[in-house]
Amino acid sequence: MMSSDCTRNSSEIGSQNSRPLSSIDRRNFLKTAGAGLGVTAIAGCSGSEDGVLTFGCPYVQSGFAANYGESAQFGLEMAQEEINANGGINGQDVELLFRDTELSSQTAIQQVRSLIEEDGADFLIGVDSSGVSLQLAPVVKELQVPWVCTHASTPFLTVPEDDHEQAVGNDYTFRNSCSLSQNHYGAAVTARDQTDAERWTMIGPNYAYGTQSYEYFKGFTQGMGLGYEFLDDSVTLPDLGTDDFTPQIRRVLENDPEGVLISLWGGDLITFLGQAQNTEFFDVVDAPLMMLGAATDVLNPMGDTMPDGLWAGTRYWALPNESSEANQTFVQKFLDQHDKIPSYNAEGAYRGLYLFKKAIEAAGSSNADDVVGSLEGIQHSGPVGEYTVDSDSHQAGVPSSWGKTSYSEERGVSVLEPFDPVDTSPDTLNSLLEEGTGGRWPAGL
Amino acid sequence: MADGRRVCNASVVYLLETIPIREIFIGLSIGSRLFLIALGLSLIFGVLGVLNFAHGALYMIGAFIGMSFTTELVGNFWIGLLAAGLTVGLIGVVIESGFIRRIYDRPKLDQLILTFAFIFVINELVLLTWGTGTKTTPTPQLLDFDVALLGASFTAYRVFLILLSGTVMITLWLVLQRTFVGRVVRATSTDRDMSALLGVNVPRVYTGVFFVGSALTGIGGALAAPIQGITPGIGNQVIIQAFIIVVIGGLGSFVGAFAGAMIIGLINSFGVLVIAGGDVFLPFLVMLLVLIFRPTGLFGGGS
Repeated sequence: MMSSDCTRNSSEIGSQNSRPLSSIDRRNFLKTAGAGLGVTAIAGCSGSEDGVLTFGCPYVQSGFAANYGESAQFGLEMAQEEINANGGINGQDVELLFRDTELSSQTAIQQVRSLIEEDGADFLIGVDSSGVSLQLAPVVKELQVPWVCTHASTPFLTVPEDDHEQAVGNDYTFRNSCSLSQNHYGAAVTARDQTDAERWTMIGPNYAYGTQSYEYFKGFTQGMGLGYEFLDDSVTLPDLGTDDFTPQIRRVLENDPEGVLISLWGGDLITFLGQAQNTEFFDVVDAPLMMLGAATDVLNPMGDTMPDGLWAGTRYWALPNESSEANQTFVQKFLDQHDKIPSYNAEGAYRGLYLFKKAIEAAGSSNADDVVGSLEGIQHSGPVGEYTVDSDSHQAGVPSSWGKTSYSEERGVSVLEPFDPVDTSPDTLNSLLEEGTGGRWPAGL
Repeated sequence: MADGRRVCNASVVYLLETIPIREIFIGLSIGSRLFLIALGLSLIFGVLGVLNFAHGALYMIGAFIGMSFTTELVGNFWIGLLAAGLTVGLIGVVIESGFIRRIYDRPKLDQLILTFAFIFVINELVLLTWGTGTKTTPTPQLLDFDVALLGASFTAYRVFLILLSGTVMITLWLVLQRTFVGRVVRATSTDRDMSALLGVNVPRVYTGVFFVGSALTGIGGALAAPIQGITPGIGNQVIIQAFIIVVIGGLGSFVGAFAGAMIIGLINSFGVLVIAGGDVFLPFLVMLLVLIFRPTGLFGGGS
């Protein structure tokens, strides 16, 4: 027999399973609305409102270039620890959120959007790849978040977007590290002052950095009126991750160059140097110039196998002839923590956070536009030395570091001896490139 | 008689100056390094029908193990070579018996996805174990000298790689063609079910083949360590080349893997001299032509 429960009239059933609309009453509405507002307030809260300044840090953290992201993280965490131990920025603690760009523009953009829109990042500090940075700049502009680039070196990042078809520079994009144009000006000065080579060619990676490397070196040397002969037919652009450069070495040597600009980097440069030593490369080429041969990610693994007497560049050298107190403190602390000399990427990231600190404190606010205004023309100093961030280009005027490799028994790694940093004046670089390339390749300063 | 000898000597000198011996040798040494990886890939596919996307990651493990044994653990390259082969072989056993075996009867796409997933797992494990930086390995002392050959000078290590690849090729061919184990492997690859009915322990054969294929790749990685800087992700580049080789040579063909590897090595060597970037796009061009005009590869499928 069916229970009488099943025959209850609809009104009774209705009264048990729902309440009349009037019961979705003011009290419940206010409760729900209040809860929703509270959740929204927490989730959408920018760090600056709750005692924390959040920095989104997109760097490469996987694959063959993962060491760059790791060294940037080391530098940032050192700076974070120091800043927070000394009261933070305007009394607010620094929070770092790291994301892996995978050296992919698409991934980087997704990560940056997530950092800003979901995690509430107030500022950005990163990235590694020039290609990624060029794609990221318009997104940063759209999201209106100040970004200090600490590694990617393409000059087009700091050329105002209306000034050149490839330029992406905008109000929110800054760079505190040595750019490609600054570094290659240093190479041109080194070639002029330290070598007798007059027939030049290049081997570099097959992407924007490699092709621009050759063009900027040519541009600066032509602007200087050096009259070099460039062996374009011997220029070689192997893919990143090439495991055997011996065929490329044969091509480079085909036209008997006196000087070779080597813009390979990281593991590729290590592989190239190891293989080149087993060929006639160093017998034929009088003046090999390694653009990033003095980067610690090359020097550390190579140890005593790095050939002596080669001119090598980097974007920051930890052991200059005269080291400032700031540099000595930074280097020693880094050595204590990580048992190795800091890379340019570590220094750039470390200094980048301090650059933001100065700008935010000078602005008296963490409002994006206030900080942007504060960053323009700011004078700052760090392990790399004193420099100014140009008001128009947003590029830091840092020197290009060059020196000759010399193995140090004490350090168990090659060092630069002599070390010969090259100052990079915007006027000089701009005028040389105008003269040498007809304005086709801008300095980004 | 003296005139004849003079003409002969002059001919030899002419040939030595005309034939690009150095480029041929470089190409063969590049091909020799690629051969072991391609051979392992082809062996696994030929017998098990599994296209192992994680093969490049296994190569990377072999390189790091070889490097560790040479520079950190025992200071001996040859022990490192053995350790790389054994370790990677065992990893292959785990992958096959623990994972792939469960999906043999599923669509091929499931196998591809599974082996693809292992790439990410292995890459992260390598990062956690060895860190992010580039590692270098010295050339073994026994082979750290130059060899003069036909008027050119080459490193003994590269000569060793060429001789080793040939030896491996001949040995594997003899094992497969002339031994009982080889007959069992060939039978299983031809007809798994019939082999099982005839008493062959098919799962054990599959595991054994996966072990050998993986071990060959691990050894290939360890052999690469003295020549190039070792970074996380070095397997990503080499797996592409390995796939090109097995397509050109013929999936499942060991002679094809050898020929394909040497062809790719020679293309790498000569291609860049012919046209900028030739070493990059010419292998793909050759692969396309083979796929169009001889889809089974130059030496067809099967061992």
